[in-house]
Order: sequence, then C-alpha cells, then structure tokens
Amino acid sequence: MKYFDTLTAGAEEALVNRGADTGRLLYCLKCDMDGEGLYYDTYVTFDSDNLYVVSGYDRMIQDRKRYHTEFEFKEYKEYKLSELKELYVDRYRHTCRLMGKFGENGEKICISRFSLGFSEKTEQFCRRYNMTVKGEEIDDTPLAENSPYCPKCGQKYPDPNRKFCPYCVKRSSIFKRLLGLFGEYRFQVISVFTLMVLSALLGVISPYFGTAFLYDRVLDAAGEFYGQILFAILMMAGFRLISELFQLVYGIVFTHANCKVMHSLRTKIFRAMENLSLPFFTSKQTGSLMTRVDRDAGEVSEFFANVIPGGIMSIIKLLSIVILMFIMSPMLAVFVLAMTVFLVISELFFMKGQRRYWRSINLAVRSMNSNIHDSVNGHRVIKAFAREEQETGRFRKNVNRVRDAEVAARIRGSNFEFMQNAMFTIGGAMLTVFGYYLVVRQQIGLGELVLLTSYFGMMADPVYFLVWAGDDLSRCLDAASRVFEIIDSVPTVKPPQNPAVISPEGLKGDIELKNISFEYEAGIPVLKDISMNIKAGQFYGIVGKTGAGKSTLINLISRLFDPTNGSITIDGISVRDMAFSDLRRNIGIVSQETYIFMGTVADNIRYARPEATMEEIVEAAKNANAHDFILKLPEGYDTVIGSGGADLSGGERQRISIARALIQKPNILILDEATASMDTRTERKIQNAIDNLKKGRTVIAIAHRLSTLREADVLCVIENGEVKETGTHDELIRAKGKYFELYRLQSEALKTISTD
Amino acid sequence: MNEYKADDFAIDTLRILDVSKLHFTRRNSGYLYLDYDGKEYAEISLTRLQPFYCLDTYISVAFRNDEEEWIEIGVIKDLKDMDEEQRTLCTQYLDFRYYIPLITKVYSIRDNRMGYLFVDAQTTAGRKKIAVNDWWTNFRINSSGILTVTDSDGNKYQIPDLEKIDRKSYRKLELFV
Repeated sequence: MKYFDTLTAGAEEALVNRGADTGRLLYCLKCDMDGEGLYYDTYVTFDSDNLYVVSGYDRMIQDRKRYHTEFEFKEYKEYKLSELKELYVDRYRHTCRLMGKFGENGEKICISRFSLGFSEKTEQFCRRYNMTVKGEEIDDTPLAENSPYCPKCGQKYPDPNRKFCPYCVKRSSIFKRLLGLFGEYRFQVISVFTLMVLSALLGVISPYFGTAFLYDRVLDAAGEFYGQILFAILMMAGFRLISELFQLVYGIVFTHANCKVMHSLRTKIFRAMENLSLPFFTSKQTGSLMTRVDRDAGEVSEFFANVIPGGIMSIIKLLSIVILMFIMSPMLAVFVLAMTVFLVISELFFMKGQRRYWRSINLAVRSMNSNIHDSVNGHRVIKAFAREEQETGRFRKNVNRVRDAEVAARIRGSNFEFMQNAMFTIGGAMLTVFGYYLVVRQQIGLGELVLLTSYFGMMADPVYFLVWAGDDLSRCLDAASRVFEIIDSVPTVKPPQNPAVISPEGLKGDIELKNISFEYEAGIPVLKDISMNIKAGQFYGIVGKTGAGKSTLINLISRLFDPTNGSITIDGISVRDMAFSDLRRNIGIVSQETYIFMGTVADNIRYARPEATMEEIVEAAKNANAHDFILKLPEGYDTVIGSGGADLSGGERQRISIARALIQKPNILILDEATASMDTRTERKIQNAIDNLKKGRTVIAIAHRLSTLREADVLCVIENGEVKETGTHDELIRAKGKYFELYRLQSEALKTISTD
Repeated sequence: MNEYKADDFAIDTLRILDVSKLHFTRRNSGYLYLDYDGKEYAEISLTRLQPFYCLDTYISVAFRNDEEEWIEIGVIKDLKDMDEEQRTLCTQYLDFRYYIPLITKVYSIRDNRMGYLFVDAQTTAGRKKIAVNDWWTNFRINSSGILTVTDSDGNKYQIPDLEKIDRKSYRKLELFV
C-alpha cells in the first residue's frame, strides 16, 4: 500500500485486532473530522473484499525527548465491497463528506467527514475504490509524479501546488546556493574581500594618528616624533585616503560581479518561466510571477550590493576595534563592550516593536494603492454612475490610515532616536570620566583615552548595521527561496525524451481523441470520456454553451495541458511523443483571447515565423481582412502596437491574431471564437478567407454563432464536458436534438431582433 | 423548426417562496428533500445569499436537473416564517453546509518562513497549525470585523469578531489585518 496515507501503528493495531489483514490493503485515506466537525483522525482503507473505517485520535506523546503517536481508538466500521458499490465526495462550503452508495437501489450513507483541503486526495481515493469494485486496471503513475509529500521528511507540502518544503529547506543552504552564483567570479570576490579587509583595517588605524600618536608621541616632549605635527596629519589623512581608495576599487569590482550575477539570475528565472507549463501560470498561487523576476531578484541584488559589503566591513571594523581596545586597556574595553551590549539589546527591543509599525504602514499603503488602481482603471464606471464623491471619501479614509500609521511610526522612531542618543552620550561621558580616572592614575595615556573614546563612537554604526542586517538577510532568503522555486520547477507537461520524427512537410492532420477526461481541479471534471475522430482536411465544428469544455479540448490537442485520462494522436502519433516545436509548428491557433506583443504590426504578424517576407505579411493581413485598417494606422505596418503602443479595438486585435496564425501556414488550424468580436460583414469576409485556407488543412472551429459553422463537414455538440451529438448540420437539424435546440434558439433570437 | 417556447427568452426574476407550501424532509444520507407546491425535489441545496450578514434570511433553494445544472426554485425570505420543525431542519442543514472552524486563540504566528506564515491556533474544532501562503490575499477582514483565514490547502477559518478575541491573540494578528 503506497497511497495515500500511512496507517499509524495504533490504527493498524485496531484493524488487525478486528481481523483485517493489513498486508492486503490497497489504498489508505486519512480524514480529519468527525460528524460534529471536531478534528479527529479517521482512516478509510480497503482490500479486495472490504472497506474498513477506523476512527480515533492520534495523540503526540513525548517520551524522553522523543515524540511518538498513540492512537486513541473510538470507532470501527466495515463494509463489503460487494455491497458498497460506489464512493464519492459530497462538497459543502468549507468541509466535505465521503459518501457511499449501497446495494442495488443506491442508498447513500456518510462514511466520514473532512476539511476541504483533503478533497483532491479523497477524489483520487474514491476513483481507485470505484475502479477496484468494477475490476478495472489502475494506473498509479500520475500519483508518483505528483506526490503532495516531501520526499525528504515525508511531511505534506503546506501548499499542494507548490512542491516546496519549508521544514526541510535550510536557510543556510539557500545562502550557500546564492553564494554559489558568484562561483565564476571567484577572482573578483577574493580581491573584493582582501580590499575590504585592508580598507576596514586602515579605517580603524587612521584615528590612531590623530589621537594616541599625536598626543603621546608628537605633542609630548618625550615622544620620538615630537613636533612633527605635519607628519602625524599626513599619516592620518594618508591612511584614511588609502582606505577610501580601496573602498572605491572594491565597490567597482563588486558592482560588476553583482550586476552580472543578477543579470544571469533574472535570465534564469525568465527562461525557467518560459519552460513552465500553462497550469503553473494559471494556478492561484502564482499571481506574483512578474514580482519574482523583478522585485525578488532586486531584493537579492540589493542584499549583495549593500548588506554583504556593509556587513563584512562592519564585522572587520568591530573585531579590529575590540582587539585594539583590549591591547590598550582591557578594563576600558570591557566597560565599552558592556555598554555596547546594552545598546544592542535596546536596539533589538526597539526593532521588535517597530516592525509592527512598519507593517501597519505597509498595509495602509497597499490598501491606498489598490484604491488608486481601482479608481484609475474604473474611472469610466465611476463617472458614469457619478460616484466621484464616494470614491474620494474612500480614498480619504485610506490616505488617513497611511498618515496615522506614518505619524505613529515616526514619533516612536524619533523618541527612540532621542533615547538612543542620550544613552550614547551618557555612555560616552561615563567612559570619559572613567578614562580620566585611569589617566590620572597613569594606567593609560591621554592619547589612548581619546583614541578609545573615538573607537567607542566608531562602534555605533557597525553595531546598528549588524542588528538590522538580520532583517535584510531574512528578506533576501525569502526572495531567493521564491526565485529558486521557479528555477527548480518541473513543467507538468513534459517534453518527450525521444520525440517522434515528423516529416518536413508536417502532419497530415488526422486527429483522434480516445476517452479523454480532464479536470483542472480534482473532482470537478471539465471533460468526461470524450472520443472524436477528425479526418485530415475536414472542417470540424465544435458547438456548446459557455463552460461546456470546448476551449479545454483544443488546449489538450495543442498540449497546453495533458488530459487526466485518455490519449490524443495526430496521424497515429501520440501528442505526448511529439516535440513541442513540431506539434505547435503544425497547429495554428486563433483564440478568443488575443494578445498583442509590444512591437510593430509587422512583427506581431510574423511572430510565429520571423523569416516571413513582407509580401507574405501583407498577404496574411489581407486574408485576415486586416490590411485596410493597418494602412489607416499612422505608420502602417511599422506602427508600434501592444503595451504602450497604439490602441486597437477587439476586432482589430483579433484580425491581427488571425493573420499571425495564417502566416504560419499550419496544417491544423484551430479557431476558438476567432471572429467573435467582429461585425457581420467582416466576419463573412474572414469566413471566406478561412474557407480558402481549408483546402488541404484540418480546421477545428469553435463558435457561438452557429451560422459560421454551417459549412462544417462534421459538427459536434459538447455539453457538460460530454459529446452529445455528432453529424452534419442537416443531420443534426433532422435529429431534433441539442443542436436543433441551440439553432432554434438563435434563429428565434434573430427573429425577435428583426421584429423589434 | 420555428416553434417558439414562451420561456425561451423569459427574463429571470426573483421568486420569493411561499413558506407555507414548503415541506422539507431529511434522509439518513443527510440530504434534504423538498415538496413544494405539489412538486418533489430530491437532494436540494440551501444557500445563504449573504453568508456573512444574513444567516437566516434570503436563503436560495435549488435542485440539480438531469443535465447536472443547479436550478434555483426560489428564495426563502426569512426562516422565522417557517414552522418550528421545518426551520430547525433548514438551520441544521445550513449550519452543516457553512460549518467553519472558528479561531478562539492564537498561540503564535511565525512569519517569513520561506514565503509561508504558520499560525498556531486554537479553533472550535481543536488545535491546529495553519500554513498560510501569501497572507495579504489570505487574511481577509470584512467591514463587520469578520476575519477569514484561508490556508494553503484552501481550508477556511474564521474569527467572527476580531475586536472580541483576547488581547494577546489580537496583538499577534493585527500585523496582518
């Protein structure tokens, strides 16, 4: 038994005690609730004869620092497979029930209850149970590929759509991987590090010449450099200058390396995203993909550009200052360190509280930005309904929230800054008093005391920097983990290992769909056991209501998704065995969602075939009835369209997208509501163009307006993900079924309009 | 071919149900069956039109047709217009359908765990560690102060009134709402 959950020892014992042979169990499912909705552990499992349900509570018991679970048994039930004919999931708003159908009359009973998050697993369990009852063969390969459990620790991924285990990933390993990106710039990194150390040391030594050296060896008559003030000043300035020079050099070298690494990181993210399958882009949790390329990579870059050099410099500075202080006066050094520790603790306390204030500013600003976004994008509606006053009121409320949050944070910050400065001044004064006491007792020289005081002042910045660097490190690692998640993602629609060889002339276009089922979300089938046979050169029309599954079907043919069950072949070759480039070179799609890339009209038309000549572009535009409107654009075919370019209407965009598909000269042309945004005359013209193109090509067309599919060789009616009817227009009209009903409704609607 | 059916293009309007004609029964399976105005409907569904604000008013009653589509029979304006037994039946069904664990105490919230937020909370269903992805989207508070938390599995938890939760829990939550 490999799927889906493992029986705990206690649950297994409960089963064995009641006569079950756990070695014969096929699948096991854990549900998490009892009938009252309390968290409860119910194991549902079956062998080839019986379904067993054992309920209880898995308690975590600590025994000498080790944890183990103990199963507190509550209830046991057993059902015969011969009586329990079918299992299914009954969904409610936030919970579900595992239901069973009994006997010949299908009497329904509830077997267990569980949270919504368990539904996908339970649907798969039900499917396997039902197939076992029917004696059908079960293929568990997809389960192995999409395991929701971390292979390392066995814990369930917090998000089933994100194969990322926060329990296993160590922050240090992410940091090491980030550092690894600098691998090829090893020489630059070593140089930078050496220069940093030198710069920090020189920076620390330089005050010595203005203090201890000056007082004790230049100004003191007994000093070996007595009277050589210029020398002391030159030494101080020289050390400082060289330190700054080193800083400049390592800054330049490091910026080069860092920018190159970030460039390669951004390229890697983008390339990884381009290779990902469509489901990744449509999944709920990846709405921030653009943020990942932009902000997350920027966050990592920022950390390496500022925090790492600053951190290294701070550590070196602090270490050298502490060492020098201990050499000069261990007693004063201990005193300074004690004060520093006190300052660090107070800073940490402040930081802990201040995060709350920043978070509230962040929240308020985000709400305000959403408000602005809403108002700008919805300005037409706001004006049309004269809601300017209300919108201004809403904005005022949000902006007030930002003001209040900022005022609170800044007042707290100012108060703390005052306290911090006061503490620092008091600390400095205490150090001076204590230092003069030691000078009077001749334990240290006056110059050394001045130097120690200046070191105390120099310690503040690196200490505060390191205290705050923790937050920056945390942000950087989070950003990096999201970036690596994309880079490491494996596409769900995988290219074949050994792609089939397709002749240069391309595919003929014989398409066969065998028992295709598909679901975007487990348990909600979009297509159910669909079979179709589309012959090469046929004009195949697909008809059905919105949401019937028509567009999903063509997404499967072009392998943007893989079906849950069944197979699709073109010219007898499974689409899974074709290289993506071969498959998509042979299939041209004009979908209802047209997308215009930023670029000229000509670039957009030749998108799929960049080598197309100008003549071919114009020919395609003419065929798509786009030529006339393109000529009216200010720069004709050179007009920049898309984001930031000239505005095109829905119909114009659709015509560009048709031209784009036509220029590809595909052997299979898929038209998904391709003419939906056009007026009747333009639609007719394009229909003629498509009719011309049909020769020697397989055309699959989806349309709501049935008149556009009248000439189809075969029409197929899909409803609720099932094929309801297939035939020619005349056959289907004669059959008086679903197609007839749809056709009648459209004719009646047109009649009503014309009568009006 | 051109037979015209009167309801083909009929405008859909709100149909308030006459509660005196409604008769619900509950089967062992937990499903509700309805007898309304002489017609019988199996395994009907009751839906609150405003699940946050109106728990007992404006309840939509629907059945599933042969084509697996939910068809609304009508709307019950107020459950209190029904007799005791029928009202109890409907309330029990709705409570079951809208059951959601309520958060009563927050022990800790661990932020920035590789993009996740882990909320260790006591709920009415028991103690639970809730993993939340993208808290900005999944911590939702409405104008009545009801906070809904959605975890990365899609499970939902609620705090019916954020102001009424204990001070310590509130201090932990206020960073996210």
